[in-house]
Amino acid sequence: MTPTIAVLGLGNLMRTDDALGMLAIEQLREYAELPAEVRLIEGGTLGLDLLHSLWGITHLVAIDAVDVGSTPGTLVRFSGPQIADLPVSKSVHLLGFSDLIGVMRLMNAAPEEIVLLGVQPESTDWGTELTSKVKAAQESLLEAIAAQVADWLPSSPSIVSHAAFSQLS
Amino acid sequence: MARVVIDPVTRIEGHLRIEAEVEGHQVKDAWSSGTMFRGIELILRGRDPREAWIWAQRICGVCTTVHALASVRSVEDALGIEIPENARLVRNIIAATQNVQDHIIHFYHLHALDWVDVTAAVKADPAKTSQLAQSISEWPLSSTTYFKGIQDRIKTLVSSGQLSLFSSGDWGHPAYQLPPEANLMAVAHYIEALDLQREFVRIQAVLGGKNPHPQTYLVGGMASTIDANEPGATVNPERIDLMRQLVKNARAFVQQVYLPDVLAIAGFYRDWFNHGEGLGNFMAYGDYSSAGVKDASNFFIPRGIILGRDLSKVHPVDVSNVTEYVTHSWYEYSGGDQVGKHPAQGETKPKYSGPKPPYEYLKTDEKYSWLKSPRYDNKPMEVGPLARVLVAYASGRPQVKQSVDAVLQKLNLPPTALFSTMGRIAARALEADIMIGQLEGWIDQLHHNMASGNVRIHNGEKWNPDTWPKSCQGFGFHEAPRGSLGHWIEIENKKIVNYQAVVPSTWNAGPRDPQGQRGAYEAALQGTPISDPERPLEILRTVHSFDPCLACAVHVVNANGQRYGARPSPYSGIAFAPSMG
Repeated sequence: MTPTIAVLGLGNLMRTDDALGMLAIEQLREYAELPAEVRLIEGGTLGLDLLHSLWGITHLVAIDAVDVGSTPGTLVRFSGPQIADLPVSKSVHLLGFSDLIGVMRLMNAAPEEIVLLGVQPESTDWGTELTSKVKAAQESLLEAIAAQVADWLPSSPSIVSHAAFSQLS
Repeated sequence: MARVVIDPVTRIEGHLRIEAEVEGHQVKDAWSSGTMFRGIELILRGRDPREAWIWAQRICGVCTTVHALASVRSVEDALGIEIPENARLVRNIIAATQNVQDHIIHFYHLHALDWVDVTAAVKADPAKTSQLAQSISEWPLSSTTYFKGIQDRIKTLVSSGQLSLFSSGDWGHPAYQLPPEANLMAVAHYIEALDLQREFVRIQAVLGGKNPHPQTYLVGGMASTIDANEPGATVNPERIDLMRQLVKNARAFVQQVYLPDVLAIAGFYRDWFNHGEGLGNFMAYGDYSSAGVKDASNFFIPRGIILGRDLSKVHPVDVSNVTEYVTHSWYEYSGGDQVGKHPAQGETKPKYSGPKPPYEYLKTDEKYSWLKSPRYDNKPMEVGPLARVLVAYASGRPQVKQSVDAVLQKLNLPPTALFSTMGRIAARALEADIMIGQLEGWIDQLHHNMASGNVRIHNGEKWNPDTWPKSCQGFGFHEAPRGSLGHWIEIENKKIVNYQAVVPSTWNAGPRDPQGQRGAYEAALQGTPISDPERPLEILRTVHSFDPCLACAVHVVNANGQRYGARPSPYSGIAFAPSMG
C-alpha cells in the first residue's frame, strides 16, 4: 500500500528556537522537491484541531524543538516505542503531541509510523529569531527530514539536493 | 483552616488559579485568579476599525470566531451599518456550529473526566454496558462487541503505562460514583465525540475559509460568496448538502448520545444539583436575530436578567449599566481603583502588585487577578448556557420550557435544582440540542435565498472611511458558548482610539468588587464538599461546570505558583500550556 506521508511542523513562531518546526515546513516548501502527495502541515500550537489534518496519515514525521538536556543544536530522533516512552517534559510541545497521538490511538486512527525529529533548543524565550546554534542545525535537520521521507517512499527518489539546503547557511 | 491551591486549573483554555479555604471537608471561601495579562485592547489602538476583528479573534485559539463576530458588530453599531440577510444567516450558522461543537468538547473532553473514572472502565462487563447503553438510547453503536473493543483499547493504553491524556486523573477518588459499565460507556462516547467534533466543525471551515480563525468576516456583512452555479463559491448546492449532512450527524449525536449521557450521569450524581449554586443572578445579552441585532425582541436566544433566583421575573438589560472594577485586579484607573468604569470609557493600565513568583499564596485581600470585576448595576452576574436557558425558560419560550421541563421531570427535580453545578451541565446539553435544531432552518433559508437569486451578503455603503463621522462609539455583542461577550469600540478620525472586550469568563471568573461581592466562580465554590483536601476533585467539578476559557479573559504568561496536580490537559495542554508555560 502506498504510504500517506505528512511532515508536521510544531512550535510557536514567537518563541525563538521553538519556531524550528514551523520554519522547517516553510523551508521544505521552498527548497525540497518533495512529491506532491507528501503533505506539509504547519501545526503551530494547535492541539486537537490537528486531528483533521492528520486523518488518514500512515507515516508521520513531526518536527519540534526537543529538550533532551544536550548541547544546543544537537539533532535528535525518536521513533517507534521511543515516542510512547518519551517523558512529557522533553519537548516544548511534547505533552501536546503525545496527547494528540494518544487520542489517535484511542480512535484507532494513529499513523503506523511516527518519527519525531528535533533539535535541542538553546532558548524558548520570547523572540522571532532562532539562536545561532539552532540556526546552524537547520540544514542537517532538513536533510534528516528528506531522508526519512525518502525512506518511506516506494521508489526512494532523490528528493533533495544538499546544495539546495545549504543555501540556508 | 487549610488553604488549597489549584494552579493551573487544567482541561481549560488559558491559565486559571483557584485558592480555597477548606474547613471540615467543606470550602469556606474561595478566590479565583486569572494569572495572565491580556493586552489586546492596547494592540488595537490606532488601527483601522475594519481590521479590528482579525486581531480581536486572535485573543484565543479555541473560540476564535466569537470575537470576530462581536468585533464586526461593534464597528457596524458605531457606523450604523445594517447587514444583509444572508450575512446574518451565515454568521448565525458559524456561531451556532461553534456553540454546539464547543459544548460537545466541553462535556466529553474537558469535563467528563471529573465524573468518569477511566481506569474503572477496565472492570466493566461489556454485555452489561451494552444493556445500559440500549436502555437509555437508540444510538446504534451499542453492542457488546463494540464495548469490548473499546475496553481492549483502554486496556492496551493502561498496560502500556502511557495513559497519555488520562495519565494523572484522580483515578480511584472516592467522589467517583459511576458503576464500571457507565464509565466504559462514557469513555466510548468520549472517543466517538472526538470524531464527531472533528467532522462537525467543517461547517466553520466551509463558511469561514478555515478553522480556527475564520477569514470571511467583513464589516458590513461577510466575504463568503453565494452562487448556485459556481463550484468555487463558498455557498453552492454541494456545500449546502455537506452542511446539512454534518448537521444531521451532529443532531443524531446530540440527541442520542450527549443528552442521554448527561441525564444518565446526572442520575448517578444527584447530590450535585445541591452544590455549586453561586450567585443566583443570571444575565444574557441574547443573540441569533431574525431581523437585525438592534431589536432584541427578535432574538432566538432572549435577552434578560434573572435576579436572586427569582424565575418569575425577567428584568431588561441596559448595557449602559455594565461597569468594570479593578479594586482586586492588577490594573489602575485614572479616577482611583474603587470606582467602576463603563467599558466605553474603559482603561487598560496594567499594574502588577502581586507576589513575585514562585509564591505560595496570593494576597487575596489586595489585588489578586488579571481579570477585572464586571458588574451589572453593581451586581455580579453569572453568564453562559445556564443563564441563557434560565432567561429563556423564565421568559416562557415554549421550546426551551418544554425541553427543560422534560429533563426536570425525568430526573424528578424542581426548576430551582438548575441553580447548581449539575444544572450548568444539563443546561449546556439542552442548549446544544436547541441550537442544532435551529441550524437546519438557517441552512434551509440560505439555500432558499440562493435558489431564488438573493445572493447579497455585504453592505458596502459605509466601507469608505470618508463616509464615517469624525467620532463615534459602538457596542458589539454575541452569546458565545461560554456566555455574554461584549466589545466596545471608539472610533476617531478613522482610527480606533479605545477598545474594550468584556468576555464571558471575566464575568464568571472575575475577582471580588470593592463591596466584597464575589465573582461567580468564587460564589459557586462556597460550601463545596471536599472529601480529600489533597485531591480536591470537587472544586474542579464546579469550576469546570462553567467551561472556563481564560485565554480571552487574560493573556501572556505569568509564572507558575504552587500547584495541585499539574495534570496533562487533553485540550488546553495540547494547544498552549507547554509552549507558553
